[in-house]
Amino acid sequence: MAFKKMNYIACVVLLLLLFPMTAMSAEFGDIRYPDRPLNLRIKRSPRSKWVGTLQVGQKVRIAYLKNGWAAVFEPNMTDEADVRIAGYANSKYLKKKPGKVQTEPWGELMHPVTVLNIREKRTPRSAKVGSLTPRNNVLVDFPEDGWYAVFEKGATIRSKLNALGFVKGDYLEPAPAPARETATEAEIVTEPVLTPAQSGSGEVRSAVAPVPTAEKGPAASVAAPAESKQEVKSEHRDKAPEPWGEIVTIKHKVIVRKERSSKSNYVKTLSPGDRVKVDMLRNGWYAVFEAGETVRGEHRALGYVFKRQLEQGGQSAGKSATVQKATPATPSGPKKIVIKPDPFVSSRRPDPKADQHRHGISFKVLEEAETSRQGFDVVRLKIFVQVSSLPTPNVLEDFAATLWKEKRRKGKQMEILIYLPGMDLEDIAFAVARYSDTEPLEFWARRTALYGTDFMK
Amino acid sequence: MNQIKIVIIAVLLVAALSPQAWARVGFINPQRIVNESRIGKVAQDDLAKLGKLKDQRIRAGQNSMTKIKNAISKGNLSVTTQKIRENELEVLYRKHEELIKQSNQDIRNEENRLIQFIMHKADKILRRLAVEGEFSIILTDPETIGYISPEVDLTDRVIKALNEEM
Repeated sequence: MAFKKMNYIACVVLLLLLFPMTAMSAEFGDIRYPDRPLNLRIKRSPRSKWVGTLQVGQKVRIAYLKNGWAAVFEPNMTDEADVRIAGYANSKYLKKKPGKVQTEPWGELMHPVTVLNIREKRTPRSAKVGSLTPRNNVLVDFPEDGWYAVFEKGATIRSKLNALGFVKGDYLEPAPAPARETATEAEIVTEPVLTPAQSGSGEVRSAVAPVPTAEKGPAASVAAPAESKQEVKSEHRDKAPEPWGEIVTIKHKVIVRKERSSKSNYVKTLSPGDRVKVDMLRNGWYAVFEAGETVRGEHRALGYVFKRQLEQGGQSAGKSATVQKATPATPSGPKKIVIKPDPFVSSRRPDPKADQHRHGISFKVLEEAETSRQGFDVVRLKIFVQVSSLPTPNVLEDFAATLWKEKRRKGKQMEILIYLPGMDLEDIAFAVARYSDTEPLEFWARRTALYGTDFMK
Repeated sequence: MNQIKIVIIAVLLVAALSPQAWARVGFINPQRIVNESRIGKVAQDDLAKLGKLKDQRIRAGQNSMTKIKNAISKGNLSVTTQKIRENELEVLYRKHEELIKQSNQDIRNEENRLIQFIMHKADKILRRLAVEGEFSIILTDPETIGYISPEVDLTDRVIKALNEEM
């Protein structure tokens, strides 16, 4: 009898313990993952003001679903009483399960030179919502009119509404390179009550994106810019390059490969007595350079050698004083090529119908969104051009220039992406035109994008 | 009892020998697909074109700087003009550095985009081949493989199918 009673008591106690735990574990909203780059809007409408973007596969929290639109929050915001809406997104593109992930760093790490007030709007007269302490790094973005939006430590959603407030850019300096890695260590002193930053517009300062191993094509093309960079530095700054790498003398034959893989293409064989510089050891492979190479960049590498082979065939001629540490480390390893889990599901939709004409070309504006690119505000236009034969680059360039003249905005760059019939409108565009607010910058066309269309067959 | 044992062993043997029990493993080398397919070569050309374009912009910037530098080095400018030119040069230099950084970044991004594009197309073909050849698993990382029989290396078939669509 006593045993039964004990059992009963134990059951009751367990139930009592479990109830509060269940209640506590019920989190606010749901976790979702965008299956494509997704614009965030200020209201539940595709026509409302753009405030930011979600990247593919980025983890977000959503709640308040209404009319197919959901409010989007940082995933770590679990307390409904203390959340900040980062914007509204169309819920049909927010999936329960994570698919492919294509995220890039955004914003720029800067630190204030003095104690700096965070304001509610981009004006010194607006309410103070917090302050920044000197020399502590913070993530900023959306520069406009000399003001930056400042974000909370660990912010993941790039949205104007997700900002804590705005700070004057005059008192900010770029964070030193090594410190950039400690981005999340930024210290922000906030006022007790932080309201959602409701206003402001502007854009990005993009950070370092993943660096793939260079292919033959790009390596050749990148080499020139880097060369110019070095040249300019030596001419105008008169700075001695910092020592880096390790000079080795080859004892036995060593094979240089194009990639950090024994399966990659053969580049050359280093013979005994050859002197080369090695650096950037990753996955057991060194990048190998000419012994006199001064530019520490993977694009300048002759190729890659296997460490163990080098140790057998190479003799160190003494390390340089220090390996240059200021250079941001590139992500390691061979390029990972991600294959979508279910490629049978095509994202291609039927061709839209053109509804406007310029330069004898019928077209439709698919999307006009503000975004940012390497620190500049960019207005991005996605255009579908209805043509039956492949237009020449010149024709498209003229056409794009006309659109730019009509739609350009002061202080903002413009990027025009042109799609042709048969192309996947969510994939890469055929032609890309870039403009500043005053002049054309670049125009190029990718033949690759025509794969699978009638224009390539 | 013995009869039951025999039946169980027989069932297990049949199950073990059935085709479903064998996981057929295939392999593709993504790097080869990008390097050797026709679309891959088109992509390499596209990338080279972009590189050339970026290079032109960088050279143009360099030329502007050289002109100002030459003007300064002649030494026939007034102090005020010299100061203005030096400031101009400093601004140009900063812009130029930024342009080089951007150009390298753009080229890397473009390379990634093009590879993704090709692999997306290749993957559709790969799925079809996997169904046709009853492959349960297809590996894509050459780094992790010690030996692969040519029979189950689908790379050439994927490249051929990719080429046929052009």
